Amino acid sequence: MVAFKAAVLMVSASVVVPSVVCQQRSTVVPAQPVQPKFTEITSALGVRFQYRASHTFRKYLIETMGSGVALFDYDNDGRLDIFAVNGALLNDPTPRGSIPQKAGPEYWNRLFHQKPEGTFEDVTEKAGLQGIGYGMGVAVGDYDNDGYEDLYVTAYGGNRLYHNNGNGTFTDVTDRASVGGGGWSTGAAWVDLDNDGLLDIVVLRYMQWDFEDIWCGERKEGSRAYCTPDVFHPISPLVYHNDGNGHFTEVSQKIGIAQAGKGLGIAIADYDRDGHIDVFVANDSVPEFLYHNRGNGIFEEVALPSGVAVDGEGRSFAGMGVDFTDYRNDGLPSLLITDLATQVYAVYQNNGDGSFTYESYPSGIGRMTMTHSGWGVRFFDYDNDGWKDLLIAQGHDLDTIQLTFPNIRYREPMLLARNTGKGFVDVSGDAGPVFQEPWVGRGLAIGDIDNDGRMDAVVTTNDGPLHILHNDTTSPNHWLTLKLVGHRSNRDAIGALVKIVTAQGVQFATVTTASSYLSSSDKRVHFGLGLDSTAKTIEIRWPSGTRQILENIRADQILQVDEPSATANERPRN
Amino acid sequence: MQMGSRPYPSPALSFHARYRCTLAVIIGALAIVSVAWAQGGVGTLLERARDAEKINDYATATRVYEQALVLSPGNLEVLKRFGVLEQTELKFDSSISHLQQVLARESQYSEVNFFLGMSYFGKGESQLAIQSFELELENAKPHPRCRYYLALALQSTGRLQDAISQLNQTIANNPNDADALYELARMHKNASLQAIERLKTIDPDSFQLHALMGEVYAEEKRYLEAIREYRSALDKRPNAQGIHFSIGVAYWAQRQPADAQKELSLALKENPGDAMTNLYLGDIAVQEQRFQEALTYLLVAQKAHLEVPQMHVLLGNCYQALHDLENAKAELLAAIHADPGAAPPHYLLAQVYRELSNPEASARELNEYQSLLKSDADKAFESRNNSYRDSK
Repeated sequence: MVAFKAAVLMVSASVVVPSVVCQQRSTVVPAQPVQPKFTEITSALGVRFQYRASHTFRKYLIETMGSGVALFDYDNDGRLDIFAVNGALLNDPTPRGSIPQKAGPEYWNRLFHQKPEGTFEDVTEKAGLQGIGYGMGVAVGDYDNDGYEDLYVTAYGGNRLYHNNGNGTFTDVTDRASVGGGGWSTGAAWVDLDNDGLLDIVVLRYMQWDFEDIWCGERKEGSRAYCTPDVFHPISPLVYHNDGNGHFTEVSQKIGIAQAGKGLGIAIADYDRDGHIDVFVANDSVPEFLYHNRGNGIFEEVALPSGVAVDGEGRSFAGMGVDFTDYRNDGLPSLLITDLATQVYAVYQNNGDGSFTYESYPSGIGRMTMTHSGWGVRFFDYDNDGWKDLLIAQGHDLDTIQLTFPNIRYREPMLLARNTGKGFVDVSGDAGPVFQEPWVGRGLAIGDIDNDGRMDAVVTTNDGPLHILHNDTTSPNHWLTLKLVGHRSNRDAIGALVKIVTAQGVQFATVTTASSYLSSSDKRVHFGLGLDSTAKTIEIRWPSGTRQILENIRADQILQVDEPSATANERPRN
Repeated sequence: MQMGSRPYPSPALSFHARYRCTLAVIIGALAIVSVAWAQGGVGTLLERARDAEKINDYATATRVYEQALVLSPGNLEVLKRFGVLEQTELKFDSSISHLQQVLARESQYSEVNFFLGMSYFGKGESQLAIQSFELELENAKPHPRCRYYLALALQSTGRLQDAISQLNQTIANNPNDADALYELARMHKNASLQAIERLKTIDPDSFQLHALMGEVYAEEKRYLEAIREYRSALDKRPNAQGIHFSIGVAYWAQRQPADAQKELSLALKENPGDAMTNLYLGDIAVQEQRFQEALTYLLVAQKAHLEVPQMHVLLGNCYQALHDLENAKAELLAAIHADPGAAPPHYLLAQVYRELSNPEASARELNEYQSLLKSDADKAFESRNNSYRDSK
């Protein structure tokens, strides 16, 4: 039995010093590479979850797209728990207009609680999170600032908002909150779009789709295939503004996040460092969207002029998962979007002037991903060397792909790419046997499950089990994890920008639970510090506008940082 | 051969000129009255026979033709029609007999040689069929399907080249003749397979056979098998020209750029000026954002004046990345001129205009890009709907 060690250190520290988070090229020195090592420990931790896609002869597209997973601490015991989204029974054929239902416990969504010794227990029924419908994704956020993480679960035919009661149970408040939506919802992100201290939620939808029986692929036995998105019309997202009284108002048209697309992945970052959080949408087979926050509560879609809508040759691609992170340590969040084999994953480097440069090949990602299909993706520093590396869940969407492309696989191992500071190199082959296992990877969430300072991962597979990857990488490097608690800002501090300075250089991160594919990661911010045992300064720009600086923070701890109260630059909450 | 779909000749009802007599005027007059009466009766009978044939009542039609021959023995049109009916019923011997009776009296009677050829062909006597078809083709207005069936008869006697020649003439007369196109394709395919079989007989492990099979597999997009065959060909003849190129193209089709580049580089050593090799290497280098290297290849390929719109796109992409904006603009405009429906050149051109500090032109190109994308999306959706309707 493998058990995680619990080593949680919570320190409340808040020193208010007006300062500026400025663009700054990092001088973090690339460390000597250490051998990565990840081990699958799912069953050892007592987690048994099987995603039920209900594959049919008719190959309804929905069967191949799910599903998502969340890593979050729902009971505030300092240990991450796991929530996995499940499908539903599909009849073959399923009549058009049907909303599939969970026909039994095997189709339930599942909540796994981490016990003090590090193993997990299934608490789904107690929590009341069995769910309804054919689930897709999950977003974690404390929408009512009561200190307990709530869940928004997307699905086909209607989404659910579960309020965390703080006693291990959740209440379905969807109807009261008016956030049920409709259509085929996919990725969702909690984010305070108007900086009023309350998390709003952006809900992507995939396309206008029902259970129409369409034959795609060759008309011969064994060759029927899932249809491409091209044969369906796009659809607009839903944006729910948090009214602060347990009620939300749909405002997509009003605020300008309303372009019809084929949305799957969503990520947030203030890419132009104007103090307002922006939103990126990964669209499947149509141009991607970048919604620039103009600061007055109104967004403008600027992907094409910014250079992030299509690849370097002007072609759209099958955008699936996305992360929007400063992996270059230059203070500017850049983009990585996963897509299907033959397209190469798209990397857009932020130029700092509102534009991006397509950098898939110069970054090293292009050549290593030409024949791979990616979904869940997160930048994370697995070896704590100060450079954010990459973990990607892979697998094609077509189970017939080898009939037409013999060198492309439906089931694929995960991809682990090390950030050398000058680009990425594929280190999957050295990272343990788990990186040899072919899966139909989909969702991916990142977090330090055992609080040992090394980032772990949870991965979902289509019509397969959930996998927990424990990071066993041994290195001399130090780390620091920050748990930000907003008081004037939203309590999760989602959207806060953190700058950390060590002797080796500078790093930046944005607090978010979004990114990846249909999934929600640990909101805590993790930094690898290399050989530095102290962070000289930590500068936080809270969503409220408050700036906070901490000095001489020792490494190798999980530090809780509370947003300071009234300051000189305080401004009233909306 | 499509025995059920006979083209019917137009009825010829004026036989009066074909019977001349030297009887006395009275007898002659009586005879004329008699023939006129018979002709009127034959015409009616032919119409009855045709009505019966229309509803596939061949027994009735046969009886009607027999009555007509009693009424007007040796009537050429009746004999012809009767012969055609018998052919439809696969009674080839009696069909041939009746049709020959017509030809014995009038050797170029309209379309009878064609139908006689068809009956011979149906009976399996291809040589006689060919002779009849060739006689039919001597007519000023031969039956429109005669050349097509001549090709089939020629093929059945092993005269493949003659058959292909006849089909090509058929298609020259009617480029949309799907039957002829189908047969032509089939004959070429069969010729190819026959050649491959002969190669196998000569040496199943020959360079030629492996190289040929490589091409066959590549055509079928079975690239793994294609590469295996090409490699076997190289084992037999390591210095064979063109094989590295084919392997490189197969790798690139599978999006394996490293392997493709390696093979194409070997191909380039064989022929440094080869336009297609340079084009492929340029394409790979552009894809991998190695623009300076790509430009070197593409400029060589450009000298061959290949009619490939993508060449301009690749060159435009290179020039833009290398900040040679005027050349980028020229190439992308050329790409748009060569393929006005392609969206990507507009996107790239918009970037060039932006760098040239021409925001209006950049916005215009982005608008055009989006418009073309939308048009493509609409077409894809429409195509799906059409295909779905067809399948239902």
